[in-house]
Amino acid sequence: MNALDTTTPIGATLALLPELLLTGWSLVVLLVVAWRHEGERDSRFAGWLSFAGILLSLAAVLGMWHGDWHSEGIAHMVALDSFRYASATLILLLAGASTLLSLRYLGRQRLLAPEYYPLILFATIGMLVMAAATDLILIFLGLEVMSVAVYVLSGFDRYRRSSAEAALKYFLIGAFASSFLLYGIALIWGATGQTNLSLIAAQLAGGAPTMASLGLGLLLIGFGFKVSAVPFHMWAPDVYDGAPTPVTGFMATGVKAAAFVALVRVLDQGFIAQAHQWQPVIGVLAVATILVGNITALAQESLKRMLAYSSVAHAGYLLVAAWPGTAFGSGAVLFYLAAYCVTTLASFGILAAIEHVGSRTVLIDDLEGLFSKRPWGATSLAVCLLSLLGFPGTFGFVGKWYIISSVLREGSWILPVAVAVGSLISIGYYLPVITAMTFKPERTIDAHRQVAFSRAGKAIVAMAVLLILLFGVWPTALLNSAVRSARTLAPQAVVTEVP
Amino acid sequence: MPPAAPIAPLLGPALGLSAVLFTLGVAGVLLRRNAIVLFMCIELMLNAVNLAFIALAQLQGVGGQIMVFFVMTVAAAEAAVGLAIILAIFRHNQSVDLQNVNLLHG
Amino acid sequence: MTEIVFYILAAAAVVGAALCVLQRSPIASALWLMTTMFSLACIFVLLGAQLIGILQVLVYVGAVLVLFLFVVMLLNLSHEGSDLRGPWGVGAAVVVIGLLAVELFGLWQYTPARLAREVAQAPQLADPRLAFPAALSMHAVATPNVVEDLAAPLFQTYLIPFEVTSVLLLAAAVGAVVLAKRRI
Repeated sequence: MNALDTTTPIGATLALLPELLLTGWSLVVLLVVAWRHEGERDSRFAGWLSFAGILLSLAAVLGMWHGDWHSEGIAHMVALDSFRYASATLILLLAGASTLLSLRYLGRQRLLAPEYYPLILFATIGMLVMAAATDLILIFLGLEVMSVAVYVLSGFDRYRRSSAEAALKYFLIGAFASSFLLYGIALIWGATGQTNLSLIAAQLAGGAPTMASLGLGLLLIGFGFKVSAVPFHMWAPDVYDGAPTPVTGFMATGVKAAAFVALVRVLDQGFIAQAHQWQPVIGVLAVATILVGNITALAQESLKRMLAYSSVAHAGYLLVAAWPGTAFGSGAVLFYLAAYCVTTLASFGILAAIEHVGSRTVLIDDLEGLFSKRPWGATSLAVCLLSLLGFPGTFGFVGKWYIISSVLREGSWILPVAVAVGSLISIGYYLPVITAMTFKPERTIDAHRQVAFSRAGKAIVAMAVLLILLFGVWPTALLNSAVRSARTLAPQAVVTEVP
Repeated sequence: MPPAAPIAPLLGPALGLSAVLFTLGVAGVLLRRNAIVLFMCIELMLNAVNLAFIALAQLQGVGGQIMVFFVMTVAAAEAAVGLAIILAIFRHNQSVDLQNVNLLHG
Repeated sequence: MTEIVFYILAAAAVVGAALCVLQRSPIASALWLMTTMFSLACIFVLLGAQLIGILQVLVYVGAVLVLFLFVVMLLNLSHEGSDLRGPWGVGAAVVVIGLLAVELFGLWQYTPARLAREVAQAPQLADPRLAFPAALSMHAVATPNVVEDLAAPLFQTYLIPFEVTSVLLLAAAVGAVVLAKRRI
C-alpha cells in the first residue's frame, strides 16, 4: 500500500498530495480575496486562511512521512523519500511562519493588496515542487513557479521606489540565471538522453562526456545565482533591502532552502560519480562566499543589509556542507538549513516589528537602548544573532560544528578553516548590534515607541528562540533524523538494458 | 541495419549556432543598461537553449521538443511578469535605464 | 541543399541577434530579435521539429515580441541616448564573454558519431544509429501527424511538469495584475 508507482495517474496524484492540496487551497484563497478585500480585517482573514492551507499541506507531508510512502522502482518525476519529506516540512513551516509575521506588517505599512497571500502560497508550491522533483525539467519548472511569485512579492510595495527596483533587479538576474540553468539541462539531456536524476547517474556511472560536464558547469552557475554564492551574489543585498521585510525573510529562508535542497539532490543523486568534477567548483565558491559575505557585512550600517550579507555568508557555509556529497554532508545541509532558516526568519520578524511606518531602513544605531524598552524583543534578537554567529549552546553552533566534522571526515582541511575564519570575522558585525541594544542609552525618548509585535509575531519569535536554545543543547534527535533523511538520497539502482 | 542517410548531419553546426546566440545574449545582458533590451537579450538566450534542445532531439528523441514546450511557457510567463515589473519601475523613474536604478549599491 | 539553407538561416539569425544587442533604439532591437526568431523557426522545421517551428512563430513572434513592442511604444522609449555600460562594465563583459565563448564553442565540434562515442563509452557502440535508438524511429517512419508524436509523451511521461506549468501561468497572471494595476 505504501509503495506508489508514480508513472500511473493515481500514483502521481497521491505522490503530489501536499502540492495538490496547497494548489487547491490557493485557488480557494484567491476566490475568497476576490470577494472580500476591503480592509485590514479581510487581509488578516486571508492570512489565517492561507495559514490553514499550509497546515493542511503540512499534515499531508507528515502523514506521508510517518506512513513511509516510497516509490516503486525509480521515482519518476517525484521523489518519495525522507529527504523530500524533511525539506518539505521545513519549507511549509517557513511559509506558515512568514504568513503569520506578515499579518500585522501589511496593515501597518498599508500593503493591503489582496493577492499577497495567494502569491505566498504559489511560491510555496514552487518550493515544494523543487524539493520533490527528481527530474531536471521539473526542478526547473518548480524554480520558475517560485521565482515568478517571489519577483512579484519583492515588488509588492509599489508606492516605494526601492521595492520596484528590487523586483526589477531580482527579475533580471533571476531570468538570466534561469537561462544558464536551462542550457545546462539541455546539454545534460543531450549527453545522456535523460532528465531523471537516477537515470542520468546510471548513464554517467562510467564517466561523463564533455557535453555533460559542460552542462553540469552551466547548471552550477545557475544554482550559484539562486543561492547567492559569491561571484553571483551581487543582487542579494539590494533585493533583500528593497523588498518588504516579511518577504525578505521568506526569500532569505524559503527560497534559499528550496534551492539548496534541489542542488543537493542534483549533485548527490544525479552526479555523484562526477564528484571529482564538481567538488573543486563548490569548494572555491564556498570559500569565496564565506570570505566576501562576511567581510562586506562588516561595512554595513543598515541592519537589513547586514543581515542580507550575513545570509550570503551562510550560503557559503551551506556550500561547504554540500561539498562532501555524503549522507553526513547532506544531512549537515538539512540540519544547518533548519538552524539558519529558523534564526534568520525570527530576525527578520523582529526587524519587521521594529521598522517605523514609512521609513524602512533600520540602522544599527537605531537599536540603541532597545533592551531597556523592549527587553524581550532585544533578548530574542540577541539570541538569534548569537546563533547566526555560532555561539556555543545555540542551534547555529551545533550546525557549524556538524558541518565541520562532516567535511573533516572527507579529509579536507581548507574548508573547515574557512568556516572558522568566517565565523571569527562575523563576530565583528554581530556583536556591535548586541552591545548597541544593551549597553548604549536610547537616542531620543520615544525612539522605540513604534515597536509593535503582533500576537502571532510574538508567538513565532518566541517559538524560534525556544527552538534555537533547545536544539543548541539537545540536537541528537534532529541530527539523526537529518542524516537518516539524507541517506535516502543515494542514487536508486537502475537496471540498464544493453542494446 | 538500414543503410540510411547519415543521421542528423547538422548537429554540430546547430549546436554551434546555439552557442553563438547564447553568447550574444549574455553579451547583451552585460553590455546594455536599458531594462527592456536586457530582457530581450534574455529571451534570445532562451531561444538559443531551444535550438540546442531541438538539435539534440534529432538524436535523443522527441523529449527535447517537449522541453521546448515548457521553455516557451516559462518565457511567456516571465514576459508577462517582467514587463509588468518594467511598467512599475517606469512609473517611479520615468525611465527604464538601469543607471537610474542604483545597481551597484555595494 | 539542406545545409546551404541552414547556413543562410544561421547567418540571418546571428546578424539579427548581433544587431538586437547593438542597436540603440529598443524598437529596432525588438525587430531584429524578430528576424532571429523567424530564422530559428525555419531552422526548427529543417531539423525535423515542424510543430515547434510553428509554435515558435505563434508564441514568440506572435505573443512575446508583440508584448515587448507594445510596452516599448506605451512607454515611448525610442529616443534615449546610448546605453552601453562604462569602460569597467565593458571590460568585465569582454572577460566573461570570452570565457563563455571558449567553453561553449567546443559544441561546434560535435558530430553524431562523436556524441555516440562519448555516450556509449564503448567502441562497438560508436555508430550513432545504435547509440540513439530514438533517432532511428524518428527518421525511419514519416509520421503523417506531427502533433501526435508530441502529444502522447506530453500527456503521459511529462504529465506532472505539464500540470506544474498551469500553476506557473496562474501565478504569472496574478502577479502581472498585481504589479500593473494602478491602484491597489
